[in-house]
Amino acid sequence: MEQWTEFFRVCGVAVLCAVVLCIFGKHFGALSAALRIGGAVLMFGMVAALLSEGIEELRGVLSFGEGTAQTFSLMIKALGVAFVSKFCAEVCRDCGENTLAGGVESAGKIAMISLCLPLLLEILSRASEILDMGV
Amino acid sequence: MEIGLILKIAGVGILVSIISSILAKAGRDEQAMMISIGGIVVVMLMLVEEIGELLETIQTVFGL
Repeated sequence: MEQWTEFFRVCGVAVLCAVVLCIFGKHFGALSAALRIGGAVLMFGMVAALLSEGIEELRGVLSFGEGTAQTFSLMIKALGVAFVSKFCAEVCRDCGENTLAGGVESAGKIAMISLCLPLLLEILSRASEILDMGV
Repeated sequence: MEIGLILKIAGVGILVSIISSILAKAGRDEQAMMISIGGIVVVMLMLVEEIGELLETIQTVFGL
């Protein structure tokens, strides 16, 4: 039930921001961007706190071996990087800065590649072991 | 993360726009500009705190 309460709070924040911006947007000037960012930060923060419970439960269910636990942890980190880079890119685009948004997205992609690189190297080494055994 | 943040930003925005327009109509454009800049600085300080809290939450939740 707590998830539904948070969901409705998020919807309430979005509607409140939209209404305030609709009424006062043209008088706020630069502060309208600040209000949009504030609303987005608040909504994301409300949802992110809820995710922690779900992720811990999934971690408990899926950790039936050391390799699986490590892979799951990597997956969650990659998900976090994706969320943060998308959020920051959207905020930059909202302020009209497409170049900065592109930079953030590129940084996110590079961060995800560097996170997944050890796993990729392990897969390649296992594949070469299998190929050596086959030959 | 409280909904009051939105109301605080909206309140600062309304106050700044009212004072700026009064000062602009009274012919004090520079002071109107300084009030606008002051309002933006106040809101940015509030936002930076919230963004820092959000990034900490994300670091904790996703284990980054």
